[in-house]
This record gives sequence, C-alpha cells and structure tokens, in this order.
Amino acid sequence: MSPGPILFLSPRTKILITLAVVVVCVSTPANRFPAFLGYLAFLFGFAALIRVELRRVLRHTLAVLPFLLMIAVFVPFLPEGQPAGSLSLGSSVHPFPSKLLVLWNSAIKAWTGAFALVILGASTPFPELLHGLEHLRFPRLLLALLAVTHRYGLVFAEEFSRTRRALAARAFRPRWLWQAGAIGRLIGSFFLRAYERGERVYLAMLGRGFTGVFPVAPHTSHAGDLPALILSAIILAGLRWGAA
Amino acid sequence: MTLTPAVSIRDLSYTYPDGTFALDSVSLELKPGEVLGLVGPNGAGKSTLLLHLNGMLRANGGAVQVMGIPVKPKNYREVRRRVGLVFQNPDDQLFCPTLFEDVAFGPRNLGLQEAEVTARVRASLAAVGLQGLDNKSAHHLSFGQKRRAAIATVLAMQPDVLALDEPTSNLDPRGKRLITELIASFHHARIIVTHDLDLARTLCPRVAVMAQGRVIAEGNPQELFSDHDLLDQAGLR
Ligand SMILES: Nc1ncnc2c1ncn2[C@@H]1O[C@H](COP(=O)(O)OP(=O)(O)OP(=O)(O)O)[C@@H](O)[C@H]1O
Ligand SMILES: [Mg+2]
Repeated sequence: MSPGPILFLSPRTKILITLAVVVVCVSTPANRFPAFLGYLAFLFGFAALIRVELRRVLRHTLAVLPFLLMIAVFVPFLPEGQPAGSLSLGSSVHPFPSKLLVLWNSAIKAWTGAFALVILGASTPFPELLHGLEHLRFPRLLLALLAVTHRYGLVFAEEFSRTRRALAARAFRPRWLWQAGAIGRLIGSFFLRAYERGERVYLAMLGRGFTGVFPVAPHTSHAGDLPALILSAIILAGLRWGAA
Repeated sequence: MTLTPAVSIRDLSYTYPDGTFALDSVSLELKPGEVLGLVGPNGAGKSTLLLHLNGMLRANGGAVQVMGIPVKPKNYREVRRRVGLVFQNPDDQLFCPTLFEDVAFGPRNLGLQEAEVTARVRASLAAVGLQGLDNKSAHHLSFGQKRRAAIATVLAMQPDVLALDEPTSNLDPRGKRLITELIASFHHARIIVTHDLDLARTLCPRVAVMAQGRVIAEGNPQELFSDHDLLDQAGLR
C-alpha cells in the first residue's frame, strides 16, 4: 500500500506551483544550465512530498519525445545564429553551437513542463483540478463545459464505436468517395444524438432546481498551502534570478 | 375534510411541437404515500405524462397539482423540489464529475448550507446502498449502481413524490430485485412507469393502463392483468 502524501496541498496550491514552474522555466535563458537542474530537483522534491509515483510520471513525460524528435529534425535547417525557439536566448554568449542550444532549449523546457503537468495530473483527480481552477476564478461556464465534456466524452466515444460496429455489421467499408454520404449521415445522426442527450441532461438539471448558475462547492485549504506557496516562490525565484 | 392528494391530474392534454398527439385528457390521482403503477405499450405517453409532473413540459390543456400546488411557471421551483423525477437512462441524470457532486447538485441549488448538503448526500447514498462511493465517477459505476445513484440524486431533494421511469429496465434479475426492494422501502407517493408486470404486481396496489395517450383502465393489478383483452389492447403480452 502506498502511504498518504507527506504534505497535503489543496488543488489550487498545486495548480499555482505547477504554473509557476512552467512560467519560470520557459523564461529562463537556455544557457543557464544549473537553473534547469534546479527546476528538475525542485520537481522531484515536490513529487516526493506529495507522494506521486515517480516511475509513472517519468513514463508519461516520454510523451514529449516525439515532439522533441521533430524539432531535432529541423534544427540543421535553421539559419545560423538565430535566437529561435527561446524568449530570451538573445545576445547571451553561447558556450556551445547555437543549433545544439536551440535543441537543448526546447528539449529541456518541453520536458520540464511536461514533467510538472504530469505530476499535477497524477496527484490531483480531474474533479479536484476543476475545483481548484474554480477557486482560482477560472470562468465558471468554461469549467462547467470542461466538467460535462469530461463526463460525456467517454459516453459519446462508446456511442460512436457502437455506431461504427453497426455499420460494419452491415458490411459497410468506407472506401470510396460515394460512400462519403453515409459517413456524413453517420456524423449527422451522432450530433443529433449528442444534442438530444444535451436536452435530457438539461431537463435533469432543471428537475433538481438548476436556475442557470452552477452551484459552487466550498473550498478547503490545508495548513501546508501557504508555506508551500511561499517556499516554492522563494526557491524558484532563487533558481531563476539568483547568482549564476 | 379530505386529504390533499399528492398528485392530481385533470384532463391533461399535450401535443409535441412536431404535432405528435401524446396525451389525450388524462386524469389521475395519487394519495400521499400511495404507489401507482403506470403501464402501457411503447409510445403510449407515459414518459410524457411524467414530464408534466414538475413542469418540464407545459400542458396544452388540463391541470396538474402537486401537494395542492398548481404546476405553473411561478411554482416551478417549489414543484421541482417536491417531485423527484428519475429518468429512464441514468446517464442523463448523472452529469457531474463525481457521485458526491451529482447528489449535491440539487441541495446546493436549494441554497442549503454545506453541512446540510453533505448530510443529505451521505443519507441519500446510504439509502440506495452506495455509501462510500462519493468520489467515484459515474462512468465507473455498473448500470445497476447508476440507477441507484440516479435515485439518490432526487432523494437528496427530499421530495414528496417520486416519479420513476422504467426503474428496472436493463437490469439483471438481482438488480431488479434490489431496485424493487429499494422502491418498496420508500414512504413517498410513487408513480412507477414500467413494462414489467411482476414489478407492478409486487409494488403497486393500483395500476393505470395507458394506450395512445389515454388512460384506458385503472384498478388493482390482479384483476387488470387477468383481463387478456385489455393486455392485448395495451400491448402487454
Ligand atoms: N421530443 C418529442 N418530440 C416529438 N414527439 C415525441 C417526443 N417525445 C415523445 N414523442 C412522441 O410522443 C408519444 C409518447 O411518447 P412517450 O415517450 O411519452 O411514450 P412512452 O409511453 O414513454 O413510451 P416508452 O415505453 O417507449 O418509453 C410517442 O408517439 C412519441 O413518438
Ligand atoms: Mg418512456
């Protein structure tokens, strides 16, 4: 059994810290290598404190690999000496060839960002994330949209694959252009069903007293929230702007 | 003085915007605590009737009262609190990220304090046997659990009337038995739409048979269900 987190943080705090890491990391000049090492160390520490399983997180961050490969392919074609891909690569003196620096720049930033987001995702269930965003004054309507999409996305996906099976059962192979009509109808009926479901869900909401305003759940905070935020701010600022 | 009926429906008629004539001067009455079965073939108008109980559809003719309150736009809020409508498909009723949020949705709309909301959610989930599943997403519940969760969402409104649309459809025998026992354990006035004659026999001392938008017979299930002409007419066998 995995033990509970050492440090309890509210979703809001975790979102803020994640956001801070991403912003600070992206705005760091590519040649400040120790800073990036620092960010990674910070994230490892953060993950350990809130007890996120590191193996899983590392595996998930591999998702950015294809993206990096794509950049790697294009690096040789970039014009020499251009400050491509960075906000502040600017006029700093490069310790090694600029093309490699460009690659390093996007690689380390993409990977650190992905790492931070995956830690957030792994430590915070989606409903709590929504709740945290709500606490951070994220527009309520968008949140309701996200919540409903999250809830019905899978339902729709199942419906869609059922419809596809039904077509396949009638030996339908969408191969030729003139079959585009059937696909069009398929998509049409799919939207119609989604629309009808939307109406029924809306009725269900009305039936439970919905007046057009989504009710808010109260927000809880933990004792560790404020200290964690302050400490993170100090560490990240130190890494970013401290003596190189 | 007579007791105010929980639900009173007088000469209710309804035509859908597309011209479908769905209800043809239906009259029914339900006493507090009473259980009424509503049976009839597909398309008879049963679901349409339920949607009139809390003003989700507006009658073209006739009147509906719930606990003596006329179902009219100015009373919708009150009426919707008093009538708990459980839809045929629980997926339509469970639209929140977690079970807790779903059950809390109604009480929060009523503007209750969060302590009271939590208490109602706990009590409702316990009443349907889903205690401890607060943080589950509806997507990860079995169909039978979703059915019970949908019932919990309306129980939390503490309604006087429960209207259940085919509560045992798509359930396995055990699931059917559980739902039947659950509904029997309630004390609300209940209207149960069903094609399941066994369910109607066990739960409903009185049954109304609908066909083509009209109530064609009313009485106790023993008598009605032995009338083969009636069953044929109502497409129930
Ligand atoms: N949204 C709608 N628009 C137009 N017509 C509708 C709509 N919903 C239902 N109807 C029609 O109204 C009639 C009554 O439908 P209703 O859904 O009330 O029947 P039901 O008795 O609940 O049937 P079932 O047992 O199949 O659920 C049917 O002829 C149906 O086609
Ligand atoms: Mg129906």
